[in-house]
Amino acid sequence: MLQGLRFAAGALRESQASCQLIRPAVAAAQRPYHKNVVDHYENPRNVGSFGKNDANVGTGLVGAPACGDVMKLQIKVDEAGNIIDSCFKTFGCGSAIASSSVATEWIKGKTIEEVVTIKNSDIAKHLSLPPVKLHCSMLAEDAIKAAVKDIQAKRAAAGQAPAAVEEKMAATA
Amino acid sequence: MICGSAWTSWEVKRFSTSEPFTQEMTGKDRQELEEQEFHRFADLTLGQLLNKLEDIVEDSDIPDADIEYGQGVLTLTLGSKGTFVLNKQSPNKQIWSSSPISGPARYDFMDGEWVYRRDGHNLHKRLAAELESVLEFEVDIEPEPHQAYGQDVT
Repeated sequence: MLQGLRFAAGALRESQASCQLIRPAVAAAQRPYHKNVVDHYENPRNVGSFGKNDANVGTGLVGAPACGDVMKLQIKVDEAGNIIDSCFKTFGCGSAIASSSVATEWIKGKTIEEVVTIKNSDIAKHLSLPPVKLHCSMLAEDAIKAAVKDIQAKRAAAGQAPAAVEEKMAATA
Repeated sequence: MICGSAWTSWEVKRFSTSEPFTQEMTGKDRQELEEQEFHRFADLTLGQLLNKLEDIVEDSDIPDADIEYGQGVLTLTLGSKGTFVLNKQSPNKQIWSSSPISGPARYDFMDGEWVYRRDGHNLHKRLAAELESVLEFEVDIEPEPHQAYGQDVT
């Protein structure tokens, strides 16, 4: 947990250099982070990592280091499609960290069908993100969808295996 | 070859006649767009928008409306109606936008226009429509046909 906190904290210090967009924005208008963003930075929820090869884990990896934002969001999903746990690791500015932290909070306890309806605008509104940071909340929405897509692909592949075995058995019968 | 009469003098200064402007430069998608070309097209787009938006800000009756352009970032503030931001996102060779109406979008330069791949909409058309809804007057920010870049000039 502490290691995760340092990761998130280290990312925030880098934000001035890595978030390309923030330099001119800072020059133009100093604007404090909303208290919800500060809260998620000081008390990040669900920082961590699940084994990506676990059959019940979906991993969404979005963004690009060159852009200054990379988010990894993971979900642990039960047989019925309920998200029983979630975690994230984000390299980026405070808004990116907060957006992904909020995302992991909101998706816990929901089904994978429900969470793909979470909109970046909901996250942005909750964090009062300024215009230049709307891209961070978009990335968090993308991360959720990518994690869901991953678990669905895993389950589809696993589902195909028994069917292939059945076909083979039928062919050799 | 560039036909001088089809371009404004400003364009002719930017593109020297010795610079090739052949069919090969049209229809490029993001992967093929060279970094230099990206900067040229993106700077041209934002520069043209700056000129048009300056006039629009003048015409609007919003008291603290303002437009700023620096370091590849174009910021249009329309008081309580919200703030539009357009910026060059060089690593992706994209123009990113932030709208108080439709949120964030990322545009690739394809076939002479900036397009959001997810739903195919055009940057200029979307921005014009949103500005019209906010300002309640007609807005023209389309690149002029004879100034259109990436189009075959005959």
